[in-house]
Amino acid sequence: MGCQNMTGFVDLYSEGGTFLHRIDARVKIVAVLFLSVLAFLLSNVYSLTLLLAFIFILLFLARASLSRTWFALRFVIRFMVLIVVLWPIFDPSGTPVWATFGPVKITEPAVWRGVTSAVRVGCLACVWYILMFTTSQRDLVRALVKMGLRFDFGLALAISLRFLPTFSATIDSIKDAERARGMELDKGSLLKRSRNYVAILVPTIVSALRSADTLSLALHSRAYGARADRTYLREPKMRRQDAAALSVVIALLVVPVFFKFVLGVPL
Amino acid sequence: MIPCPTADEGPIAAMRNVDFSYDDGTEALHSVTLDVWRGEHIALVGGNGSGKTTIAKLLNGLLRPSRGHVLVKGNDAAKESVAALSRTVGYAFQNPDHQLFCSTVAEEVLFGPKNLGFADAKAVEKADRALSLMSIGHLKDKAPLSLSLGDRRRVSVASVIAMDPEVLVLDEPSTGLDAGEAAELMRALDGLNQEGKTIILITHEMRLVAEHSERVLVMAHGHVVLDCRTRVAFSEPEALHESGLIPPAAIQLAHRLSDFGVSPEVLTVDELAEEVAKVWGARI
Amino acid sequence: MESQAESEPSPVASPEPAKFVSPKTVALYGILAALTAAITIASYLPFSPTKGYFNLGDSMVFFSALAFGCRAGAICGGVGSAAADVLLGAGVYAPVTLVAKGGEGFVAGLISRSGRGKNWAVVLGIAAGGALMITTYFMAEWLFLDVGFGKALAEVPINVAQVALGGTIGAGLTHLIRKSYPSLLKG
Repeated sequence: MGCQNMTGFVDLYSEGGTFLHRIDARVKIVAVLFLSVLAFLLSNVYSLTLLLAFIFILLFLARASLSRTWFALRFVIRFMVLIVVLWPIFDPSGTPVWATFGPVKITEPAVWRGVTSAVRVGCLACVWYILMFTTSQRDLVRALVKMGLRFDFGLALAISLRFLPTFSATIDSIKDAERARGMELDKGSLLKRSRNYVAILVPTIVSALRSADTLSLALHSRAYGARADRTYLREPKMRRQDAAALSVVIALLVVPVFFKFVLGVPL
Repeated sequence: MIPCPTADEGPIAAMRNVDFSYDDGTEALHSVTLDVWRGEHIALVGGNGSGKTTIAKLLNGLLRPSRGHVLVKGNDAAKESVAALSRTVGYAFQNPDHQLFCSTVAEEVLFGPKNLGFADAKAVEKADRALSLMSIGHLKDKAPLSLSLGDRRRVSVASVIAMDPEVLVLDEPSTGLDAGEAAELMRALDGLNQEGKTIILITHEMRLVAEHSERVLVMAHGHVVLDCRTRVAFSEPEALHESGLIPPAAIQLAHRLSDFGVSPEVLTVDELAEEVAKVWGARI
Repeated sequence: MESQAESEPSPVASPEPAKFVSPKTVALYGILAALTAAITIASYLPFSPTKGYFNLGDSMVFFSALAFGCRAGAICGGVGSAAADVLLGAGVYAPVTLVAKGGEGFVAGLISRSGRGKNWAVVLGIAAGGALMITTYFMAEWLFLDVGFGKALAEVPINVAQVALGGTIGAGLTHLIRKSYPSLLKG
């Protein structure tokens, strides 16, 4: 079942002591952005594969459990397979033609374009896991606020991440309660199943909106909004190793860009 | 009275060497074996996280044992769907809000019997009976989740009673009820028990256990540590203490007074008063 | 007057009073986004009623928009759905989802509110919001992520089904909750 516990809640993060866990979350966010940009700029399938390999090495260093990695990769692999299969069918351009099925022509360049795109999507998808496997939600929200997200929006985000597992557990418990009363959730037509779903959603939403009421009173009573220059107790600080990591990340983007666009190396 | 097992009828529900672990690795039950006989009034007690709710969910198929067997009416529950098992074992959830979703109380209580395929007239009859048993007939047209906690609790219990299961499992049904409401709920359950329904009450309130249940199952760390008649369980409070359970005041007082000749085998305030009156020869 | 002002020294009074949104809004938006993410995830997992073919998160996007307006629809729909993408391991889609689902909630809320929640306005709002969402995903996949015309096109029928089901459920939920629990929707 991987990272999905008894409540059906999904959290890719697991605690750990690797250097990826210790690096400032802001550096990791910048790394995700830069590596994504790099994936878009590269157009050569070999250099993209190299980038994917690099990302996998980082994932390996993050020491995520196999089940967690597999849970995340299932989605990526499905995307990639679909791209490789569907691309040549809709792109008949180029020669040589490998095969012809009625109106559909499978050409070699189209297949390569499909593979290139699939590897790029693989990079774009997997680079997120470096961040998600190694950064707790709390650190993520703080980093975003430090990077300029308004404190109140950050608070709303933190609230929603805090309540996500609660609501997942509520949904599971409601599902059980409906089943205990003889409802068969996953039987019948799609429409009937959706109707069954409403039976789960109503109590979930009503109890959630009630908690929103209580929560807003709690925020009021704890002087939310009294000062605009509010800070966190544990402010994230850039340390020397964070600065070093940041320069590596910048180099990772700048060096290939230099080779490709200045020296004209076909990367 | 605890009904005696007869040759022609086995236990209505039973567990044989059942182990259960949740997906995240939490081991909830270790080798639990127990029999539930038709017409019993059982209290399932123990600290939080001792496995009470897990037992309840195993009995109606919401959870499936990791090892061992759950038998309902002599058949292996593994082969039955939750919907099929819910005809025999009804389960009222701990949090009433998790099972209320219809727009009126009447629809809510009808939902179960309709799912089980009762004809309309029969379903309405069962629903009405459940409503009047829980004395919430007057709330029929209200939206369930807009009611007070006590009333929501009663609607959720009524919606399970309406399915007319032979075994009723109630998960902490008295939480959030005031003393009067709780007493009324327990009277209704005792009435159903008199009619032959099996009641399994999961609770932290030892007074309700002492006053209403005939048999006590004490859970601790996933084991059944005590399974006996209520009177016996409370006459040796050490086992209860080990599981973090404290007998009700009347029973504690009786134990303190046992040096003065008061029998410690009392369960209720009334019985204690009688004992004290007998010993001191005065009428109270 | 002056003495009155002096009689209220407040240690927490800020030199610069916070221009935050009200606590009620913070709480409500946080909760709605969490609900959207939770329902998206719950309906996407393989053992859900939809067996993982698609998710019913749109029902919550539409509910937020119809019940609380375009701003709630945009923020909760966008953020909640994007968070679900990230948590489910589809982080590559998160930026697209933020725009697509946010836009969907915004348009649905805007149109249904300007039509005063009449039936035609709700249907039009869901259709327009849904169309925007489907177009955004298609264009983003085809042109931005460059996954190929075929893969981008393959998503369209799935998204149409999501909008149809999600819209029906979302509108139904709004109606049901407004009827049975009107006090919850004041905000």
